[in-house]
Amino acid sequence: MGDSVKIYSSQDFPVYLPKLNLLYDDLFSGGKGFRSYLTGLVGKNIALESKGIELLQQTIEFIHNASLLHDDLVDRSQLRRGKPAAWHKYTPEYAVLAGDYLLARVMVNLSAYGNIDLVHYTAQMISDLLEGEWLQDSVVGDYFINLEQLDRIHILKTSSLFKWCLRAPFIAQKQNDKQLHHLLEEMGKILGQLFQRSDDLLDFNIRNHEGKAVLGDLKSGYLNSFGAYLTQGMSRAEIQAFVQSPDLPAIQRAMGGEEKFQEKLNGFDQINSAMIQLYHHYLSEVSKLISQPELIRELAKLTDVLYWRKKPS
Amino acid sequence: MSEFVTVPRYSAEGQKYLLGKSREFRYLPIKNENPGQPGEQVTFQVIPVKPLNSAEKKSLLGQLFKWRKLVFVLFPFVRLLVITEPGALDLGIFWLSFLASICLFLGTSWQSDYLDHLRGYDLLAPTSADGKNEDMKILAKGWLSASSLYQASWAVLIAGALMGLYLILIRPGLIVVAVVVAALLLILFFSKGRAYKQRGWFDFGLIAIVGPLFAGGVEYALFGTLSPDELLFGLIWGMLFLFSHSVQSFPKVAQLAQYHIEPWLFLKDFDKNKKYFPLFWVLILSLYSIHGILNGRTLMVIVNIGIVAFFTWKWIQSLNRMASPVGSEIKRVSEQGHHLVLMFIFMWLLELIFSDIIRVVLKVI
Repeated sequence: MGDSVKIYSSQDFPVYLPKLNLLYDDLFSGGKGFRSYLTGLVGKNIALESKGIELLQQTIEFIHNASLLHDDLVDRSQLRRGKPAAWHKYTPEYAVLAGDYLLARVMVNLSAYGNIDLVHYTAQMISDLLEGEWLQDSVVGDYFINLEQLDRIHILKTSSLFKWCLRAPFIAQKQNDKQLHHLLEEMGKILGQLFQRSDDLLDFNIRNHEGKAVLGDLKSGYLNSFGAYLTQGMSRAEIQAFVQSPDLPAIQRAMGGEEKFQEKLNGFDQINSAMIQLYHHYLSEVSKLISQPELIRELAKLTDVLYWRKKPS
Repeated sequence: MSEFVTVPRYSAEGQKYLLGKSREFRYLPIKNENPGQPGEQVTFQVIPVKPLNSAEKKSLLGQLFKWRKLVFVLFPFVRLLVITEPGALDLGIFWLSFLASICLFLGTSWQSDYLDHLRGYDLLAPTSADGKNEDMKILAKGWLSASSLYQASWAVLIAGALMGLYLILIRPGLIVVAVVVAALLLILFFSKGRAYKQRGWFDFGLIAIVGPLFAGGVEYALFGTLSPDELLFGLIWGMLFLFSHSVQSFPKVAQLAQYHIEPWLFLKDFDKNKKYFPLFWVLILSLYSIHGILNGRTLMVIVNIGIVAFFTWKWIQSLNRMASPVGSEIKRVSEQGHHLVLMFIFMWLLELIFSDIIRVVLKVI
């Protein structure tokens, strides 16, 4: 994302608090900044004032990073973006407080902006995100969960941020057309789900251009969306054998060979392609409501970037 | 033709798509936009009509005839058939009441499905962004058109009503039951806002309709009398139906809460339900025991309660172990609860069949 912005100002955080700024320096270095890119993309195309765009980008990055701080502690993940996770490097207490502090800064900055609808919507998004985190924690170790049950969690946990990226700039600009917001909501939901499913594929080394560690989810006791798709129709004993596979070749053997695994992957891509088609349908409906053809063109490219992991053109 | 289309729900096109009158395409509603508001729109996925495969046909029949609920219509008749002295029953009236009840049950269920589809309540809580839902109904799946179901519902409702009218001519007191049930159903079906299933007082409506009104009505239709014993049975039966309905809906507890649908008795709170279900079940078993003892079937009641208690204990253990309202366990626990209800009904039937034989054997001993 050439245009990505990682907004972070040390003035936001008191310098006298021990380790606080060190922790944030670690946290904010790295990451693709896709959410702030998306927010900026929408904001710029609808001619939102630059102060507003900056605030929104900062907001989404703060919320996303707060969720990472808490998430890593909940999951006991040792690493974040290849570096020691904050709770591990500092203390669990500092990780919790640093996450809370980011969320508090979000509310301070947004309320100063003076748009109550934006504050309300952002608070709602944070509460959806936390509900998703809570539910996700409640299914750790549940290897018999199905794709639709996982979708419910991902819509809360992942899609809530994507929905916000699309809608918040319009709310900041006081464009509150209900039909438009419903369509953007559905598009955000799909983008979040595609992003999550693509991320889950990386765990099975599919389109893993970033070289992310494989089978990390399974090893943490979590059956992700592709895992749930692969185990559809298996008996409980077969699923038990599947989740105990130590590596990818063992997973493929549990599936009945590489060819069967590939067939399943094609099936998964097919259902996600149908979702991509639905996204484009919603986008065409949005194009009837707004007069920003450049924004429509840019939004049309996102599914390739998010699901197929293609480089943005 | 585009694979997706978005139109206003109450436009001519929207209604045509919802009714499914096209012979070439099925229009599957996948998303409501602005539900309940003047500008409400529906997004449909357009798929070609194709014949159902055998698994789909089997599933269609299962869903169409509502087997899981139909047992609650059948049992009160079977029960009276078993406990009544041979010759005391007018078989003509028996079969007429039986068929009328089945027709009215199926007709109202199909009307309910049809209205849910037209109003968009079958799309209330999709679990995926593409509108998919693990408990999708036959209309949402496009296995049957809404207009066909609507016509079929009226056909069976009219047949049921005609049989009911004939019964009213024979037993005029039945008019009271008919009027009360019809009034309750009309209020539930046609009240504005949410579908009837999501109204708080529907829990009590269910107990009343399936319980004393239906069970009492059956006894009155068959014998022209209404006994306190039958009313007690009706109360237990209505509570059992509510329990069964709530246990089967338990996997939807998270969706219902997210949409602020709050029944009064159950499905409000994941953790509280884990306590309320066993308590309500024990209450049902207690009333059943009292009913059985009052009818002189103490021994069989003790045997049944012993067996049911063993499976109840196992079910409560599963219920307590369940950690998530969205995982796989809640579906399993819900199914186990449903099986517990079916087992209890089966044991009850055995009790009725064998209690006379046991009584004779005990006398001989």
